[in-house]
Amino acid sequence: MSCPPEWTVGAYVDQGLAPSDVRSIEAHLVGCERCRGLVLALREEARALGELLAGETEPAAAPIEVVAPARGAALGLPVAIAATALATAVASALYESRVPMAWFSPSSLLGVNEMLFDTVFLIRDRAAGWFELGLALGVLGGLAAIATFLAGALVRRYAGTAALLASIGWAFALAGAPAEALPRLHHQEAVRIASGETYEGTLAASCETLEIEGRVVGDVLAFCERVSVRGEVDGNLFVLAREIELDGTVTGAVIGGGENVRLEGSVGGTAYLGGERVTVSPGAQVARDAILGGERLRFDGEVARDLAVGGERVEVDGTVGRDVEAWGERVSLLDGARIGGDLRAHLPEADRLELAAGAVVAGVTDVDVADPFRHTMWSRYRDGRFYAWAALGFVASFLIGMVVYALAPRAFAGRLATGRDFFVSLGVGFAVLVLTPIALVLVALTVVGIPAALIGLALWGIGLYLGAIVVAALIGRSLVGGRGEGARDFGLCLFVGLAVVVLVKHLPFVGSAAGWVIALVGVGLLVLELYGAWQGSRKVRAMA
Amino acid sequence: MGARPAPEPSAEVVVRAAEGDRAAFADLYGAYADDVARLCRRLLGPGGEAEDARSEAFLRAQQALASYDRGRPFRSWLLAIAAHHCLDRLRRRQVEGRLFDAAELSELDLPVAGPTPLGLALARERREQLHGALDALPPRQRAPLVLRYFAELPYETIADLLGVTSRDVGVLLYRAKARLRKGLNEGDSR
Repeated sequence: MSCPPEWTVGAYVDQGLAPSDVRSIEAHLVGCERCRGLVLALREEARALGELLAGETEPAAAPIEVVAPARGAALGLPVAIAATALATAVASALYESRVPMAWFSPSSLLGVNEMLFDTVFLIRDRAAGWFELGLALGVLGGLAAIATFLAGALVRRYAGTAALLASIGWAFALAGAPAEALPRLHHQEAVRIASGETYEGTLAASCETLEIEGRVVGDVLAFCERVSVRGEVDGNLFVLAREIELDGTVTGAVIGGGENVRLEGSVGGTAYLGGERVTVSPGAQVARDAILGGERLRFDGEVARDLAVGGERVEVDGTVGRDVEAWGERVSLLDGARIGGDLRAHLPEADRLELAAGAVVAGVTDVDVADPFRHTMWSRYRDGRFYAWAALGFVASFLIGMVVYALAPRAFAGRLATGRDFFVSLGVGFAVLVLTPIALVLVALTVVGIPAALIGLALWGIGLYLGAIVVAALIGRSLVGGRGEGARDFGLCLFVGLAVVVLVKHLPFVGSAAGWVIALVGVGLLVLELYGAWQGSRKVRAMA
Repeated sequence: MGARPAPEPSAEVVVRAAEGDRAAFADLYGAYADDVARLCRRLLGPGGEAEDARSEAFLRAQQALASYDRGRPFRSWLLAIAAHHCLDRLRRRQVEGRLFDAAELSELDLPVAGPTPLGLALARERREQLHGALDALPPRQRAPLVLRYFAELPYETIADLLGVTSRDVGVLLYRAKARLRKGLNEGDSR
């Protein structure tokens, strides 16, 4: 009998033969030394292969992904809330003991506004250069990357096409001068729209002085040492400057902040003004509402609708079409004050409101002595509107959560498996909370950055809002059990979780602290998830 | 360096996991994650896909746990699920969609006298080179090796997974080993 083929012997060694074949092979092995040797060698080989395949150095297994979620929330949440509550308790005890802490109020810190502006302008002057350099490098890098990609992807097969595309690309690059491709950055000393001159489109300026004597048809975004508008702005005015003087006309809204803010002209929309000293002079007219905040406020002008003022020292000597709402250490209505509606003053003590003999208030005068603790902590629970708002907030959060789940279920993929996860997320969330505004200010310092910063600010706010919903879903999942997948299961988890979150957020005393902790953890989870997705996509691209 | 496969889990853990106990399933995961990862890595090659495949394999195993036959070794059952998933992925990669073509399995074009099997066993110390030779095999030759000598699946299971007969499994294994030995020899002469 001839020897069986090697694959049959191999199958015998691997116990992969039918019983009848096993019997015939064994009969052959008795008389064939060569095949017995082959069996031994194959056995040895099989063992070697097993070791070889098993003994590979692999990266350690990733953390378990199927454990029950939200154990971390269960561990971390009470600790974090208790810590925040303790801090709040200490702070409020200090406040109630009337320890002189006036120095702690930012507005009374001597020269703090000036210092702030000095710093901001210093960074602005430097950052502009950095930003332009960065932008130029980015554009160059991008072009280089595109060129490399085109070369890499096309040269192999379509050398001709590649050459054509490359030359078209270069033609474009050479034809459009780079300076014109980039947005115009006004970093001059002074920008001036002279009298009789008309500027069409959005005017964005970051400069020492901006003077508008002529006409701007479009919005004005300004970040300057000094801004003065004596002409006309047919649009909105967004301005941050040390000195702001508005003598001319703005047809839209005015949103302005600075050290010294003076309004003497007319505003077609609502005026939001804030600064160390805000003055609305006798000739000034605001067609809608005026909302003013600052250390010293003086209102002598005319506002068609409501006036809301908040500051340490508030003086009103002008005309208000409807109601006045005033917060302050001291509020005075002088002889020229004419209030068409009610006056509500929020003051530390009732006698801080001074009403001159000639002042006229057509409606009711109401002084609200603000005792922030006794007043806000319990009284809101007696108000039906509080529950209505809470319910509305719940419904809105639920609907938004479901929409986000439908659009991007990945947003809810984060898990808090351990207490450590919880505090990592909290830390990341806190970093995002603090660092984002700083980054946004830096971006906004360069003129083109203002819209980017506004978008960033909106995203930041949305992130904080979504954060709470993400954590609510996690909490719901841990309470309801199950995987929380599919719109129905997820909806149930979200419903339960949101109910818990809304309840916790409205608890007296610890509620706001808990709300912040929840939002921050959620933001942290979102950011980590985004980072993970980004890393993942990078890996995929690296493999391709 | 889990050179040795994990021991069989206790029947109780498997039953509890099948009943939906997450902690029990997490235990199973902890015990077999490395083995499954290695299998996926071996079948699919290096890269992020193996990682995905492992997660997916556990997900499928969790869903299929209710139908697990406790007479079978758990490790084989789990690795067969993972292998099934990985082979699906491999088939998707292949343009023709067929990994193992029956026409190729003719005994006639088997390599004649290949180098002796002992060469491979003796080369055990030269891990790097062996790994290189293994990675150089096309997936369809590597798959039977991995399924037999790492997952330790019986021939019938491998045959089911690959969509061939038990007899073909022997042929495929022989061919893969012959190629591996050859690759090793070429490495020697270089």
